[in-house]
Amino acid sequence: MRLLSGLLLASALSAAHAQTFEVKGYAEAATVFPNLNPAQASAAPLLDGELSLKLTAGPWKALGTLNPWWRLAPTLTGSFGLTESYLQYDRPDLSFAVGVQRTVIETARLGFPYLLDKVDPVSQQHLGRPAISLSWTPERWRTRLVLLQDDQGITPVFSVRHEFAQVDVEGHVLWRDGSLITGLGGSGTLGSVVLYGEGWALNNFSVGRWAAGVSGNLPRDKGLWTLETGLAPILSVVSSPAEYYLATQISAAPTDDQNVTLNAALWPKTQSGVGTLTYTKSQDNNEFRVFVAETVSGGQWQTSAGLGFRHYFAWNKTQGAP
Amino acid sequence: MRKVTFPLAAALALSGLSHAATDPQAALQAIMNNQRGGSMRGTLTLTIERADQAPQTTVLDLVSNGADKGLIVVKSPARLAGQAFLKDGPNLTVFVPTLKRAMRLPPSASSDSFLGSDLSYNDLAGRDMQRDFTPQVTSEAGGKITLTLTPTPSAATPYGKVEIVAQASNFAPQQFTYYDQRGQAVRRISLSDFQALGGRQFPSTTTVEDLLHSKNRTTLKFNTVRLTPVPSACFTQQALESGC
Repeated sequence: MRLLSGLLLASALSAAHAQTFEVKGYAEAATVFPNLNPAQASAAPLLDGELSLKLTAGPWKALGTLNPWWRLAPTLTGSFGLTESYLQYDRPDLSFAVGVQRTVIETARLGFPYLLDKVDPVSQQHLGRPAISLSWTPERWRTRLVLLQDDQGITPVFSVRHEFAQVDVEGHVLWRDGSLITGLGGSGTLGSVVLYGEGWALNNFSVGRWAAGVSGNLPRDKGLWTLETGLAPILSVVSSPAEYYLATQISAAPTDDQNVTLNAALWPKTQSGVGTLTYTKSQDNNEFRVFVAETVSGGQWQTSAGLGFRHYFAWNKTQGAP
Repeated sequence: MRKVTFPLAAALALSGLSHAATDPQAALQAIMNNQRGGSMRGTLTLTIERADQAPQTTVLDLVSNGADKGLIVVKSPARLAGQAFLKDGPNLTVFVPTLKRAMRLPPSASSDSFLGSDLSYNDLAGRDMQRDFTPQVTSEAGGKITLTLTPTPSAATPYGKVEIVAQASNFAPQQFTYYDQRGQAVRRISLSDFQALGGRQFPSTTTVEDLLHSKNRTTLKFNTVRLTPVPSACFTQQALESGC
């Protein structure tokens, strides 16, 4: 794969195209109080961010994205979070990429019945995997073939998507860890709401996972609400057992520069749940965020809170003949 | 709604028909043709002014078929860069770059504020005015024509009436005034800096005033505009995710 990447890079650099180099991302400083119980209260300062570099030369594209994070206390821990690092050849109807890349297959918005991306266990950031992908996209079709490397070895993934007028549907077939996995997802509009869902048959059709939801506008067009239910692993960890859940998200923007979002999820079987209320104030390239969360598990309640400041940045330069 | 082809609208525009003969549907068609400019690619600057706040500027790339499809990509500020919006008739889909996913929005979101501005998604692309309203010619004087539009029974619009003022000679739109269900004027769109493009009078500056909040104003200015055929593949989820 490294040899192939080198050949692609050499071809890209030798191509006589205008070159655009883009840098963008954000840096964030935050403090989280995982437990507001006075007897156990402690602060966990965090630094995190995103750095994305993209070089485009005609149909060739090299892209790298890091999502690093560090927790500074009580012990120093963190990750550089390699999200993407790939080379891509991109034509109007055809795309070929090799390197670490994300393979997005999910349709659900609040739960994750099945994922191909790696998930950072602490930051919950979705990370790419080494893969070769080929997409053919005539008009409203997308046919995608991906060979990705994960803990179980090489996983071949075949997906077909079609956009109808008010509905889009995508089907997936993959062979992972010695078993056949199939999935079907889609979304569409019905009256004034969006309906969406996905279903998966795992381990040669012996295990099922699914999610279904509905989303609509808040009164006076001040935001969106989403309600979802399903059978899926908790917190995006695919290997964890799946549970039935009920989740909601209500996102409202009382003014142009403010947003209030309520996220809540309930797992009835284990009588556990979590609710998070987040307030965000944004101006120019800056965002200030404060949240409070309540978690219940096994009859134990825990309140956590946090605040953070995020600054976004971007820079680009184009040179050579257009 | 009766379909009027562009050649008919253009003929109307060129012939300067007498007031009594003006077909309101054809006049609205010609006005919208001028406003949308046809199949195009362009770069726009969106400036949002609010009381007690510094003006916020956003740069957008727009691809439009001049009818009911538009693809908008946010180029700056960095906080919003990479977000993209696809309007395909009544359907609205947003691309969230951090999730690398395209998500459908409810159809009623088309009349929502676009990026906190006084513009809605419908103002940026589409022919909702022709689809959702029935026009009547209510005045023709001083070289100007005024159309009054009332919503059709099935229209998903918050407005009770829209008045359009245009040049009678070429149907170049000058002003749209929106009224709520009680008849109060709530929003005004003024168009200026006209360019002759492809036989049409295309307004390169659009100013939107919130008449209920006198210091709220949005200005949309085309920095570059190029009338060019745009392939239909530019108005798909793939284009939303990867560009066009």
